[in-house]
Amino acid sequence: MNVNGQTITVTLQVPQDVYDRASQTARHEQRSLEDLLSRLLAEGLNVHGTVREVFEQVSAQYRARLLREGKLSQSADEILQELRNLREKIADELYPG
Amino acid sequence: MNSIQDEVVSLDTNEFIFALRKDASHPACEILLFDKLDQFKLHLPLQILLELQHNLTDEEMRRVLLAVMKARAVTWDYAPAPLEIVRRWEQRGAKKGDAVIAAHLEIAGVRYFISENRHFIAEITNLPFKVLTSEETLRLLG
Repeated sequence: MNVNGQTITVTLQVPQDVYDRASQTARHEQRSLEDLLSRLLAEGLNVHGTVREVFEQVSAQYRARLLREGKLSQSADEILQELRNLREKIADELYPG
Repeated sequence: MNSIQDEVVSLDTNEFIFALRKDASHPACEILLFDKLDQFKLHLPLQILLELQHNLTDEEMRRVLLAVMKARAVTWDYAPAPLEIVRRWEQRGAKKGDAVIAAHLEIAGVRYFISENRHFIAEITNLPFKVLTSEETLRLLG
């Protein structure tokens, strides 16, 4: 993800088999090859990042989404109640009756 | 080394959510997850994974799991908790959802469950695991 909305175009050469696998995966996930490669690159870098770096990135992404959805200002009590309801709902689905 | 670092620990969904939100009323969640995760032997039961999946997009989930893999050790438990153990916890007074969590923790031998829900099966005594908040956990880590 690019939090700032800025992107840079990169040209790179990859082995044919890597390209084939990436194309196949992109098709399977119904996303563009460029999008898939961008995500794979970011995730690959995460492998070398600290736990905080990885979490900071996903936190920024998550908070941005919550802001768009108007949920970022939810109180802690509301969040806990939602999570309690969700827990019961999932448990009811897994263990009906 | 503190004993909690030698034991298997599970994190409640609310720990992940408050940490990712950077919730101002629960700052210890962020510290625990972002800065201390690599000190823990983590156990992630199916119920928690499903709850996270429900709250996060596929990409957010993938990134969270990537981060979790940096813990000292991780076990992923994709098997539903046995029904008879869930029922036993319900009979002891736990709500069904909490009973599922308790059953998961019991069969996995988890010793610490870290949650911001102070009422998590608080009515039940002699639990096989200890329930701690993130703040209490940070104090234990020193």
